[in-house]
Amino acid sequence: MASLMKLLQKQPHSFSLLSSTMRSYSNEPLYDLVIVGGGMVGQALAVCVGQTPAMSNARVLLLESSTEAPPTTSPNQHYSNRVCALSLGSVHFFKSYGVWPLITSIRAKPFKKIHVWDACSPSSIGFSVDDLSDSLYSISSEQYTGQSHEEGLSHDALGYIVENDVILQALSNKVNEESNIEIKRGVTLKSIDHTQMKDSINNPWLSLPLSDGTCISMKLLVGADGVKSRVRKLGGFQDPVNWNYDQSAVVATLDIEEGMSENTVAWQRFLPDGPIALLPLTDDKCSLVWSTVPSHAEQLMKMSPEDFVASVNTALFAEFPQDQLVSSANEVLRNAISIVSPGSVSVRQLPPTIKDIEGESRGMFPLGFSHSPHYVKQRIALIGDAAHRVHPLAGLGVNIGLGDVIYLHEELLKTSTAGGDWGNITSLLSYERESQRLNMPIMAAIDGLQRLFSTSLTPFVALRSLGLQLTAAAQPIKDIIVNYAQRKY
Amino acid sequence: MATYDVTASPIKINDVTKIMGKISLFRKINILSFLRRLNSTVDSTETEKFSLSLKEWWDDRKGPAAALHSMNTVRVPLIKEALIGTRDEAGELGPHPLKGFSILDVGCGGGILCESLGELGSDVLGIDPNPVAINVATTHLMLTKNSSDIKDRVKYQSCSLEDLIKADSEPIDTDSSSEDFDCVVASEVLEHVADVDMFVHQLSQMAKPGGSVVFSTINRTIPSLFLAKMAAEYIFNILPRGTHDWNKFVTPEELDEIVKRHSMSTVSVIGLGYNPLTNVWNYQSDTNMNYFLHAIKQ
Ligand SMILES: Cc1cc2nc3c(=O)[nH]c(=O)nc-3n(C[C@H](O)[C@H](O)[C@H](O)COP(=O)(O)OP(=O)(O)OC[C@H]3O[C@@H](n4cnc5c(N)ncnc54)[C@H](O)[C@@H]3O)c2cc1C
Ligand SMILES: C[S@@+](CC[C@H](N)C(=O)[O-])C[C@H]1O[C@@H](n2cnc3c(N)ncnc32)[C@H](O)[C@@H]1O
Repeated sequence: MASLMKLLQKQPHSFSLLSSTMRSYSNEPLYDLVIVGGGMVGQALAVCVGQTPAMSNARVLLLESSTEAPPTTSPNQHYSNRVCALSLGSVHFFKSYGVWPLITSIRAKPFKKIHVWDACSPSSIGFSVDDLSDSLYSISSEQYTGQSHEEGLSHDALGYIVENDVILQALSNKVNEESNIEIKRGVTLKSIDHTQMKDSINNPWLSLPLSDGTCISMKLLVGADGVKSRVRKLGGFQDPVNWNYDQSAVVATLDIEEGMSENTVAWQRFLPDGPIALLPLTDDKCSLVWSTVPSHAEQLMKMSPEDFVASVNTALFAEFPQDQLVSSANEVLRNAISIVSPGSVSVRQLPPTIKDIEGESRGMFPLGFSHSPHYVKQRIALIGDAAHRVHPLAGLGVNIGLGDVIYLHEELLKTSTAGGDWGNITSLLSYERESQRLNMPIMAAIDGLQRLFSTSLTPFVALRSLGLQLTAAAQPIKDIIVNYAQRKY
Repeated sequence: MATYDVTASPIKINDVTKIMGKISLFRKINILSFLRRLNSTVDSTETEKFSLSLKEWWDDRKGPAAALHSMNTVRVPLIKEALIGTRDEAGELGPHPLKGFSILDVGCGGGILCESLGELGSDVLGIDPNPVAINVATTHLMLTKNSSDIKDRVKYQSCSLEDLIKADSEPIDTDSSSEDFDCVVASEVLEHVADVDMFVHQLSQMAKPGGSVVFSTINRTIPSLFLAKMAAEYIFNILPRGTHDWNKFVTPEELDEIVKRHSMSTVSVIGLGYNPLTNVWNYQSDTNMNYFLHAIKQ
């Protein structure tokens, strides 16, 4: 390149536009990506960035405010009371980043059926692997080019029940393998320097003073710091739309009577005060997620183990007074349905009987709904509970958070392969549009469902009992299970 | 000489092109060929439009260059494909898939495309006759890159193509050759040059035999007249008024003819779609608005 060399020799370097007010960044470490929050969602993002070849020179920092070491669960240890129902889409995601073998080497329980029924009306619905075969498998075999069948992923389960700690442990093992990911525990951000937003020319990067006294710069800041997100607050995001359900969830690990069949059904019953769910852990253990009014939750926390077990059994089996009007309307409907499609009215199966509760496994937390109107700003993105929080009907919330990770990673990849800047607002907005398009209907459905079933007022009960409820109850759950498996990766 | 003096043009090319805008394209090309004797492809009124500030060039949210920034998501993969045969959308080739390739970006403006190509590992020379734009490009590179290797890979020079070729023909060492680059890029420039035929000829001279010359530009169609010019400049105010002279737009068929005349052959033409509301580009078969053309030098 003779011409190139010659011309360059001729031109002296003069940077007349370099202003004297420009700050020097050389003394502040510059990261391509800083993730605040090392929960399931934040670590999942770190893992997929760390494993993408095009991102292998990206400098990534993970900030986790907790000083606790990552959990260490061994296969025969007590079960934790915090569990998730992972959809096949989430499982596929974990598989593609090598996290899934680490999870199953500890423990994960497949479920093959979801059974939802109502305490105030005789209606119930169940759906299983077979029901989804049309929609799910045609897509999954096309999408994953038959891989799922070879690996025995989707044809024998609707999803998996996994303890949060097991997922966290698998993820943190993976994060530790990535040489370009730095982790700081016990450290958080003190504030966000907004000068970048006002003058992005002289201050191209976002600057953060940290609680350990250092200051760092970054191209992209991701808030994965949960429902009380500090990144969302300090980043000046509009407050999320939120309300409390006036409900609390009580969780526990329960021992069940061993039945004749294997324990592979996720049960959920809608009670006047909220849904109660039993998720299978082993052949003789289930995880409980019981949403109810706070005063009742308090009682449940305080009562003796024997009384607690009795309460759970009552909640699962007791006949609630069924309104006369509702019952007869439902009778008519039942007949109508069986005429139209014989065999569609399922014989109700019964959930397992609870025998005992594991030691100190009871836990309680308040429930709320929150959704941030915006997930992104220039150089900032929110993922997981920081962006949205749903009612934990059967523990499906984390799937939505992993969906955010998938979409954000997809946008970052597009930017990387075009040699671009991760903080650019155009691609962050594409992430926001894509994930909100998928999240909003599901969140709205879960919220509506929660409201519909949380009342025993006759008109509502009649409404939910008139056939609409069959699909209404199952749809959001089915959506998460099916739609999240359909996402492209 | 360090800069090309845009004010020293011997003839008011502006006036000539204004008249030409009213003549049919066929005659226009003939007149332009005649203009070749003036030995310049640079129309100073066309380059002065790009004396934008650092802020204007590098604001990727709004303003005149926002669409050029987001356009990188479609044009960079196509340039990659021209060089290595794959767009590598999954990013499997690592962070520097273009390592070892040399690229000449003609009419590089504020360096929006050059920096991204440099990020992918290639050696880039960006040239532009407008010294203000080159100053912006140089400043931005120094200001925002803190790894020194990309600063070594990306160079800028304020000059026209003819200056570069002239400099190249004065041999300073034995292995000097005018067919220098693996890829020569003219992105969003064709619609501003004074003599397309001569400009394409010069681009071809700078490419290695077997190397690529790639273009992205606006087609001359009724929809482009309305959307690209009227809507962008008058309705949405995305671009300053007068940014484009519709009569200067070149159709893919004409460009194909022109590259053939200069010992190149077209390998692919692809349409680029743009959504001004989201500032997002996509590939499409329709080349009515913007298109990308890849030619190989024989
Ligand atoms: C008490 C509780 C119980 C739940 N139980 C269930 C359940 O049984 N099933 C279910 O599906 N879902 C449950 N959820 C919801 C589920 O945990 C979330 O959907 C899921 O964990 C989302 O993960 P995340 O990574 O977005 O947020 P989180 O899991 O909340 O993780 C946030 C992480 O960020 C860290 N952090 C917070 N603030 C800062 C800061 N300022 N700086 C640095 N780090 C910070 C936290 O220490 C934490 O590690 C529960 C939520 C809560 C709060
Ligand atoms: C729309 S800008 C495109 C900038 C850059 N290629 C990009 O896509 O980001 C057009 C640029 O072409 C330059 N230009 C105009 N006429 C030219 C010519 N005859 N030769 C080289 N560059 C020219 C202008 O100075 C301007 O910077």
